[in-house]
Amino acid sequence: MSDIKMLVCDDSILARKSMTTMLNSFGYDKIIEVANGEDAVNKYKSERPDIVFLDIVMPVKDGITATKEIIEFDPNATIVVISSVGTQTHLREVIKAGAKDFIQKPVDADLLRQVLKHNIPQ
Amino acid sequence: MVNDALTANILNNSNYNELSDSMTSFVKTYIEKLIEDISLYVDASILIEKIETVDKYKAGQELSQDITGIPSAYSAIDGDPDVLVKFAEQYAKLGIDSFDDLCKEALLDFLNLHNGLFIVLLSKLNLYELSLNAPKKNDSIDLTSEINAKITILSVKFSFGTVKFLLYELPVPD
Repeated sequence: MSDIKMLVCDDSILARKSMTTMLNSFGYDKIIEVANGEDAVNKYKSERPDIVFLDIVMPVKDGITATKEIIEFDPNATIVVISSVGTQTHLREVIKAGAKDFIQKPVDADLLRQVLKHNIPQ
Repeated sequence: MVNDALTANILNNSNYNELSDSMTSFVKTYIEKLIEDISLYVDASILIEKIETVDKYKAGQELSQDITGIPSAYSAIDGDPDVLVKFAEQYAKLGIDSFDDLCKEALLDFLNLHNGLFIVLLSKLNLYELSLNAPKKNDSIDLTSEINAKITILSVKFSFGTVKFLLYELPVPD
């Protein structure tokens, strides 16, 4: 198993479960799950995960605001946004906020594997 | 707009073509994308029982999501709880056996996925740049449409029963 610590943030319990199952199957088991952007920012500060997966549409605090706040706290944070709302406007906002990558839902396992290879030290 | 033969076939075997002249392109695209997404992520063996437009809609539970921007809309999924359980189970591929929080999460997850893919399609077609609010679950729906606007109800028949999808395109403010 890998020592890489991951934070998965999505308000959908199904989406979190699906992501965790995929990440487990790739050999990652240090996975923290949270359900909104505010919890993601707080958990990032306390746990300092190596990579963060953030949804955009969430209650309390959306993923783009959370991305900006995490990047403000740690400009080197590795954030991958995973969402169903990959419109041109949202993609621009995601990149501007400081995310490293974007994955359109439903998540394709091969694409997720490529994104991990590209964004975390092997 | 329909880019899939299966979706076109399902729509052609319903009253979609009779009504499509009276629908906005927003509503037509929503229905076409919905059929495509149900076929892809839930079940391809479906029929559209009917498409209807109403002024009012009431239900004993609310599983909904707002599409925001111009135009904006209210969307929801409704039906007999036992049928919704089957829909949720088939979509989530999990053992869901009662109309509980997990079942509602699965239904809202589907609605969020479909609405997301719908607004991505509109963006790719350079028609509209829209967004979504977080999905909502409440104890009831009590919708009344404004003048010059209608609530569209799409009744989709599965082997396990009928699920209703609601779309209420809100009038664009002056």
